[in-house]
Amino acid sequence: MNHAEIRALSLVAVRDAIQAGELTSEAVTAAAIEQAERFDRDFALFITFTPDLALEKAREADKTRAAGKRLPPLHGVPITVKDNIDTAGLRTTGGARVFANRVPSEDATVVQKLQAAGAISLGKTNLHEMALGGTTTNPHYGACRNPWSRDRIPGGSSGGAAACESLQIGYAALGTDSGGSVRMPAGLCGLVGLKQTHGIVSLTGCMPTGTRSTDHIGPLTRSVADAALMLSLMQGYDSSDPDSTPHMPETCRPIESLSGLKIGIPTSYFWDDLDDEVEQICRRTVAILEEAGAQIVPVKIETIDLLTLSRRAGMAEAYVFHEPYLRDHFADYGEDIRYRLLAGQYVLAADYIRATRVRRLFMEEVSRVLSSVDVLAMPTLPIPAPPIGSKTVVIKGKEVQISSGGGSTLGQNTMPFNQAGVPAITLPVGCTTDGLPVGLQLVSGAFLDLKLLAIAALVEKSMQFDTTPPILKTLEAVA
Amino acid sequence: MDLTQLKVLDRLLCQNDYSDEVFAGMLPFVTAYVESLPRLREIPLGEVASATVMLAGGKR
Repeated sequence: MNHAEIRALSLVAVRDAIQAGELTSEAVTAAAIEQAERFDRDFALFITFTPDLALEKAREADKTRAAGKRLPPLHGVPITVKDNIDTAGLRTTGGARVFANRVPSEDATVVQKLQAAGAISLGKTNLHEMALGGTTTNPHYGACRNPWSRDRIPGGSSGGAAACESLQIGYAALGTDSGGSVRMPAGLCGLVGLKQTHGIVSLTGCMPTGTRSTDHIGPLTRSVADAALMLSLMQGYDSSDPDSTPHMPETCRPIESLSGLKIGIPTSYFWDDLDDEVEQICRRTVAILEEAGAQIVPVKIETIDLLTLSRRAGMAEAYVFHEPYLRDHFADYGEDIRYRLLAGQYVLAADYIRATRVRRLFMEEVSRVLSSVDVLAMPTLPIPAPPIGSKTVVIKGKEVQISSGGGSTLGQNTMPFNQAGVPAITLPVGCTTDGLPVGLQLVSGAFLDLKLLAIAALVEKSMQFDTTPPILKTLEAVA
Repeated sequence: MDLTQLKVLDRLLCQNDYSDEVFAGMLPFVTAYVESLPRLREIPLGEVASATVMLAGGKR
């Protein structure tokens, strides 16, 4: 197998090949490093790239295998880690200049778990500053590019994670998602992105966005099966995380086909104000699922409008986290987030309480709606990837902000399910005429993550999307 | 809301000594918050529990 063939393997396939002795970890890791070195400078993929460390660990992994020891489930498999997830002894910046020299003393719980599972980190990926936005046009560490169209954003905040995964640099990428920051870049880069039920994956060692009850660490992968494997290794109760829950995802009976499954289609908000092509592709996907036997059920979520109102008052939480840093290092914050964060100090307590109660109403309604269907389906994002640097986009004749925080167009369909805490996954279902990927988001009830993954796998099978971006196909053709 | 009103609000609540540039930078975000309030305050929420009691996921 040449390097391109090795890189194109799925997480599950490369794991099996290493376990069977068909590939060495060193070969797999070297292939990933070769790709990272090819693209990192132009695509602003990594904040801290650690190829030497990764190769050293890969050689150790190969020695362990040669010694005939029992191997953990991701033995010798390279992955990437978003740079707001702590790594002991290795700087973790949150994509911010104010934290440029922050070196944690301990690994995040998720990093510990994946290391124990045998995974090898290639480095820390670029992100939107402090994970507070959806573009990854980072003023301090570079504007990350979309592998499907290099002049466009990869989305964010886990933009470096998505670009790496799309470029086949590593076999899974750890991202974080507080309003869609795993699912948005996954959607714009033709990947699978999972935000599991809140609390089943530990947040210990994840730099907060300021809203802990909506933060998640989740995987970006090139297949649903790979996302399921990652979740199985990342989940688990953690007493050091006050948001961690001892309840784990419910077991799920095998789901063999879409026949008879109820797919809820929200009648307002989530399918409004969409780019025409995004809407066409997602509606065509729903029609394909219906032809395959799924029952399409219109559903109404009435409190969604209230939720968008309450988001403004949520600014207060992020301000409380950043306040001391804003006071002492104001100039180190990018213009994109500094004023938005400062504005949070004017939120009145009564309005903050109102916001949390509106959130409760929304959570209860979403729970009721989800008890009547197997999943909800909607476009992950209302638009395909916009050009780097663009501030607005025109949708149905109306000019709207791309990423303004607290009410951005990019996150309008993902943010509600962070508020509800329920699991949501995006998977690619088509491309626009400009060759930009479009994702469909599926949402299920809390702790039904395995059922969600099983249904997503059936949708994936129906759509047969090739996750390889054209730039890699061109490279292969030249080689 | 305009810049003068924001400065008055700040003087009453926070007593910051920001430059005009900083106040101007914050203004769109504070304005968006203030404009969202009339509708938020119309919603009858007195008997509704806080989401911080039932954490996301709802099985705690």
